[in-house]
Amino acid sequence: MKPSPSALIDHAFLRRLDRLQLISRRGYGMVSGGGRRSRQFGSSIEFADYRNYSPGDDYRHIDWNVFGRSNRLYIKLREAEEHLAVHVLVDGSRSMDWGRQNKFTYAKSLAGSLGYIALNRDDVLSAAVFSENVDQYFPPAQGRAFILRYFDFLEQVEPVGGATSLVSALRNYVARNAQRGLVILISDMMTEDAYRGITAIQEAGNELVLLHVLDWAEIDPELSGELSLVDRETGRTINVAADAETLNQYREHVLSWADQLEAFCGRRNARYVRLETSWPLEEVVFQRLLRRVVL
Amino acid sequence: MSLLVPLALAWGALAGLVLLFYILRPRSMRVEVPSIFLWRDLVQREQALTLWQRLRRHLLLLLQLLAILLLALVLARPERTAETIPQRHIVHVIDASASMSVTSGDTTRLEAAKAAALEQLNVSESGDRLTVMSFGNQPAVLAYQTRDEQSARDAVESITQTATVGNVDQVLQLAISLADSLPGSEVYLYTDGSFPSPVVPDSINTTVYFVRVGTPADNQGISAFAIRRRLDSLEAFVQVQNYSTEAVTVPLAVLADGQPLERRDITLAPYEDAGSSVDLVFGDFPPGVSRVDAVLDHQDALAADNRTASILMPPPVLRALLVSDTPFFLSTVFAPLPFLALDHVRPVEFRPADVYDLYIFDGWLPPELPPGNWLIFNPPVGSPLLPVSGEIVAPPLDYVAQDHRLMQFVDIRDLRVSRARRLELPPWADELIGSNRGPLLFSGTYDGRRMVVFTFSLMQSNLPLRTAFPVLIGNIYQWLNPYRIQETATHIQPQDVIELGLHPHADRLVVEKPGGGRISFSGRQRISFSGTEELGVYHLVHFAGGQEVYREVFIVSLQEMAETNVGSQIPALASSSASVPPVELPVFHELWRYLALVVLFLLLFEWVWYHRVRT
Repeated sequence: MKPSPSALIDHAFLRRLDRLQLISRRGYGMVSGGGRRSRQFGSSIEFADYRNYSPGDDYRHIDWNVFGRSNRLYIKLREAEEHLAVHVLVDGSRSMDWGRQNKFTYAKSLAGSLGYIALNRDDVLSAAVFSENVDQYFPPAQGRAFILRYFDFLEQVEPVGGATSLVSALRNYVARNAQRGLVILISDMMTEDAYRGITAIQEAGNELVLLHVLDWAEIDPELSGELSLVDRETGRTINVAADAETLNQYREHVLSWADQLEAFCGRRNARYVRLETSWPLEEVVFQRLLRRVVL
Repeated sequence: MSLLVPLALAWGALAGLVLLFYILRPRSMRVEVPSIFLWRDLVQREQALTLWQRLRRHLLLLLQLLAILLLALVLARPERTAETIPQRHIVHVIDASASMSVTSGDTTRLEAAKAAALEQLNVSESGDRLTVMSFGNQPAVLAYQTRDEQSARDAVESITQTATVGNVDQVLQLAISLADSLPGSEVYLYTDGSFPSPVVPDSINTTVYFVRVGTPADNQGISAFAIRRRLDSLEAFVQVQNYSTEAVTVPLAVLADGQPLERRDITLAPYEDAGSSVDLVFGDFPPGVSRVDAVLDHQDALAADNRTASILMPPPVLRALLVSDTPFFLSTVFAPLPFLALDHVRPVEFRPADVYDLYIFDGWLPPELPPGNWLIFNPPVGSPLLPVSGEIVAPPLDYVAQDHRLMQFVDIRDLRVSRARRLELPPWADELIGSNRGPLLFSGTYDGRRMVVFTFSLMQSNLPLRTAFPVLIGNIYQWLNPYRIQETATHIQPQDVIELGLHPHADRLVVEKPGGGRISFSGRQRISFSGTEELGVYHLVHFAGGQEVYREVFIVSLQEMAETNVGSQIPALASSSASVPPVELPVFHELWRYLALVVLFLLLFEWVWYHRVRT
């Protein structure tokens, strides 16, 4: 069997990803002969429509067959093919470096899969690992030739520590890459500015897919007794009596928080997918992301 | 509300201990979580909770503190004053003597008495304090001043029949002294009246009611029985009494060692008529008989007086050793005493290994006194047991213990003593004859052994020449003899107290009761034995190192006319009246039971809450 280009994803799985494509709900006007249909008319071989000839039009686009039948000049319009700018933003805060199945490792596998799909489809892929700022950055790249380099980037990145600040990190990212496109945000969203961050991404003209990664132990923690909980990001502590009643309240609170996040994304026309690290990557890609029309 | 034991509130200080444990409990464990972002919201929400919701976090502690404080209150026994009601002390006294075993119809007199007492308990009022007593030879308090009617009923139900002679005067005195604490108290005596007219003590607070039970019943019984040896033959004396109002003929059998000896039909006149009592003499017993039984072979109301027995046990020979250089007087006076084998040695010939029941030391004592009883004359100088401090010359007599059993029928008015040893009266001794310069004769029990000491030599007094001398020696001999001299067994009434002493050479005494029960005693002190409630023959067996050294018997029989006379009409007994009405006193209700229930509920709730929180 051919070896996988990445330790994150096996080769057979990558082969299955070849058939997939990231789905954007809108075009972004890059008509430089990319791999996906554009809403603009261009020079691809795909027929789109006819229009009356106007002086100045390239007469090579006149449909002479129609002229022969109707004695009128029509210009044959063909679909333009565009490049989608795909931004994969992975949360690299310390809260992601946690879980029975590490959330950051899971996020990297997910980012690898989606980045592979983008590069395979000639989309322009850029990626970044962020916490308060963009800590590690993969500049825009297009075409399969960059797949190995992209996987190398993912394998080398580590959670950089610190707390998550989505707004600050986005501002930092836009300073490096202002190209509008599809932003795939992979994060546990444990930050105060989650809603502002989502809004900021969209106000910058991007389309957002939020992949909300959680570990089951975050939803239903196995705790008991009187505990001093230590925040992995900030080191701050909080005292909790983890009795059955408190744990029930916590569970309800976490699920309610995730539901509110999903509802907010829905109102903002963003796509929200909640993922748990215990779910196999194959199931996530081929079932959950397909069902949510991310792919 | 008041507290019966206010000091018990100090137990509440244990709450401080619980608080201390709570404070010192293990601190919170540190657990790393990806973010406290979500927990913080939860805690903020909790801080906005009401006081009660926050207290729920410490509910277990609060419950424990409350339980301890309530327990302290329980121990302090709070009580509240309820209504004031007339309070009386009602004493129910039930006769359980032998005559109460007589059956009238289907029930005995005792059962009728218990039923009457239970009926009377039904009409008790809530303020009444109830005491239940029974009596035979001795009174017994079975419930005292209880307000719980059921406890009193249980006490009545627990009374059992005895074969004893009822001591009504004693029980009435005790019952009235118990009841007299409250004005308007009452004593109910349930009895068949088989006793001489009782003496009812005067009381201003207590009314005594006699509740008669039973009806006259036919009874004939053996009212006296004795055996004596006349020359080489035995004679048995039997007295039979008719307690019935009708003339009757009853068969009387005499058994020798269990075999019929003679049977006679005896006709008895009605009770209180001439001829209602017949005295009979039986002879012609075969030689070597050891037991004689007299049996009225018929059915009547009281079986306890239809049979009696006597045991013949020839006394063992007392082995005595006289240690003296001048044994003339003493040998002469001891020689005619019955059942005595007297040996004589000089002091230099004395060997401690020779075992005797009685040692007679005259003017000499060995360094260590041998086991056995001791009779000492003229104790020598230098003995640690009897330290002699000098001599007294011609001591005038100034004290004679005339009531002492050793001085019975002893007249020593003309006793003269020329010289005597001067010594202090030992603490274990009773002075029998004394002078103002020291004792002349004393007796006592030292280390479980009996001792009589003459502080003078017989040669230095005119005592051997006095007529009192053999009488005194006879008394001393009887007291120092560990064996019974009488051939026939002692007869006592049920529940009479008999004094038991261990044989000088024995280390254990076992009482074998007629029903097969055995009671063992050790130690040399004398025992007042009262376990004589069973009718029949009691054996007293003395053991030395597991070997039986001596056996004696006594017999418990019912020959008390007051108990056996169940056939005559029961006399009407007049009740006495109290002159002071009952007073109204507040009734206190103790609350500790309710508080204890609350504590139990609290602990149960704590347990449920603890497990609910953990799951």
